[in-house]
Amino acid sequence: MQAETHFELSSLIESVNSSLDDYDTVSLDLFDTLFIRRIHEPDEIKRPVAIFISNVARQYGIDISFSRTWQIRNEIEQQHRNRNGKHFPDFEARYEDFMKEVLSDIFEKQVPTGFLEEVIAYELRIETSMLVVREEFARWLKYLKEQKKRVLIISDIYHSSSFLELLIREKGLDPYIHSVISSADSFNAKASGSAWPLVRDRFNLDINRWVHIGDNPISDSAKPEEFGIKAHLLRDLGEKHRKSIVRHLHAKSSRNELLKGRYVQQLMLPLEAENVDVSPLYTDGYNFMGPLLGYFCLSVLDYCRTNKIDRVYFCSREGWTLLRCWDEMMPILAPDGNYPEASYLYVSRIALAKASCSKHGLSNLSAGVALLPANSRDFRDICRVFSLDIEPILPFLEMHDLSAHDPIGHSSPGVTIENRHKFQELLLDSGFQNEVKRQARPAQLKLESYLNQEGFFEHPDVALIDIGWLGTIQHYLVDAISHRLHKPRIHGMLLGASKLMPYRDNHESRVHGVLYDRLRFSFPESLVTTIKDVFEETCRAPHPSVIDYERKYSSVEPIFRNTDDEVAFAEEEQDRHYAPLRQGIFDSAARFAVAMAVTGYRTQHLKPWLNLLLTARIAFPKTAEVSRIKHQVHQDDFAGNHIIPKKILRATRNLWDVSLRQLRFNPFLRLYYYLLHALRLLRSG
Amino acid sequence: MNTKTTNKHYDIQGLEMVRVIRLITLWKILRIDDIGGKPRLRDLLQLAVHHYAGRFAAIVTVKHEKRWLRSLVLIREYRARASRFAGRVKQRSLSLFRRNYK
Repeated sequence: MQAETHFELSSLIESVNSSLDDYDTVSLDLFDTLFIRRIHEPDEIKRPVAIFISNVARQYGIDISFSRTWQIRNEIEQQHRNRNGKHFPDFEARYEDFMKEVLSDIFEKQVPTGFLEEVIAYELRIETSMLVVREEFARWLKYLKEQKKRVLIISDIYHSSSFLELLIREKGLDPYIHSVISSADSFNAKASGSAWPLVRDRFNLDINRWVHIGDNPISDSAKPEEFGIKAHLLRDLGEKHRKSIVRHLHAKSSRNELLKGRYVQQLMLPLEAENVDVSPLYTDGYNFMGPLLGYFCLSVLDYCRTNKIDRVYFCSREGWTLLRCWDEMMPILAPDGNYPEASYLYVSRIALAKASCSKHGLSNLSAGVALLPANSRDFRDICRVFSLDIEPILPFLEMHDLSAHDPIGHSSPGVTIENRHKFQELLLDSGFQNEVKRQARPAQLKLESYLNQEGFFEHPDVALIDIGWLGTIQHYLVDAISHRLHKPRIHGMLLGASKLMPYRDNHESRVHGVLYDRLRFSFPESLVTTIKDVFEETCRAPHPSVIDYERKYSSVEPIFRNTDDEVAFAEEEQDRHYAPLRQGIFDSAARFAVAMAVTGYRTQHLKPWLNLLLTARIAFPKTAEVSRIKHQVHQDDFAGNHIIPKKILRATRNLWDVSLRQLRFNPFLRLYYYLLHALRLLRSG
Repeated sequence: MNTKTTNKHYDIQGLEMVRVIRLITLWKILRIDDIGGKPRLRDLLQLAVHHYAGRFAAIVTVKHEKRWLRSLVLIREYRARASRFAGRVKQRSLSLFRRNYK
């Protein structure tokens, strides 16, 4: 008999189906047949497991590198294979046996209790993430079940059948499979042909009514045919093509830093049934925003480990999305549990602004931030931002010859030097400042209680995570708790830090921009600022903005903005629009973590590729991309109601503000704005 | 219109190799910034070939495996024969050299 060779999965299934009545039993190979691997080389899975073991060993005072752990594993596995080869026809090994010996060797026979099970569970998790079920096979298995055929899975691998069963259960195929047979159980493999009689005897099979399907020309074709079983060999061209790309990327990325990021993204890509038709916004979330946010979370983890920070607070509405990505990624990136505890802090600039004035009153810097939006300009805007009651303040304004409507912002239209001086004098007036402090005190007390309730003061160092850009939340928070003796050092980690305001940067409070930091002066990174609003809108939490806090019995709870006005409805509408994009971000987070774990890359390895990603998607976007990603409504809680002068609008105009028609028909528009951005960056210093 | 996140060439939707190569070429011309990683066009072109012509390569390597393996064996044989012939020529010329210039 000659095994039939198929180059497409559909032709194989068709061929078996045509003679299905002749068979009672269908046996399938598992790896590269029923499941495909995202990686080209199965041994790559061993890297994250070796890193995990060496990290835990370090916690127990054993200094061992992951490469040495990997080497020990390979050596002991080979010893087991050689030993078993003396008694059995195949040189097989069993994972549980050799891993037990590996751990015993590394931990000098003092393996932590339950650690072997943890290692097995982690390997299962990584393996599951790297395996994808062939869509057509999954459908066919259901059909075979309906046809009452017995389906067996036969695999030559060092994992026992119980491990493979778990894998199959994870993928939801267990109802269609009768039994799983692994060479690790009996040390008789398909390769030598000794597994076939064992399977026949165990299940009492008629070899004439048995068909086997696999991808190996020896184990899955020649050997079963020798034994008299009809075999179908699958040599899938599509799979060969995909694997050749991954193999090429893996080889090239060792020498080309740019391709490291590409390799990670290639491993993340959805395959088979995962790769269904989705909204283009989902693809944007998965292929563009997802890797950026994944990089951000990974950088935060690295920073926290370096600076021994054991508590992370994700704050503001954007922090909610970042926290979800963090929760997806951390169990994969740090299976030893060596990552800071993370939680969400219900704060916003508006909710913190008032409390920040309780000790020092209204500072020139804080007032400046409130007047930064182009549509804020007078004292009423300050009162709105800091939730101050203007009535008791009006006498002080009158005393300094100011009215509530006078433009006082640094670059507000119509502002005079005289008014600026008067405003500065007002800020120096102790009576005015006392009034501000009096009004701010209750807000500060409520905020302090809320932070206390969230365990904010229990740690010497905390990381405050936000999307960006000025770091105002951190600035206000530090001001609001500045009177306390016991307070944590705050490490602000922002996705992008524009650092336009001279906020404090000392041992008590530091701000770092992860993806973009103005002080690093990187052109591709600075492109992030072009679409700040898009980042904010896409990462926005489903709850409205926090405006204040209220005491409810013994606890303090946030008060949210109204949800029944026009702005809220517009936000809701936009949330619905961005829902697929957010889903793409969440789905990509775990895959990004697995790809990073398997490749063993660090954040710095991804930087060149992310720079390219930012430039391609922000500076040179397709018109369709701009039209779907561009925000429709953006609610800035500091923004006032004044009309923005055209001059300011023109000066801050960027590529994403031009009309779609221009984008579509002007071929040099992107290049023009790219060069303009470079010029603006150079001017800003 | 809905799309797939991985396109049929196993390329990243929205950051296809063509787009990457175009951008890197522009960078190489403008040279106004440095993205890091020393991007090499040759590597990117090779990768693009893998993405867009890899299917044909798979057909050749898998479907016509026997044919190209046979050609490979033949090439190896010719090379061995050629090197044997070159060896003999070298030997002959050495002996001629020794005989004439001793």
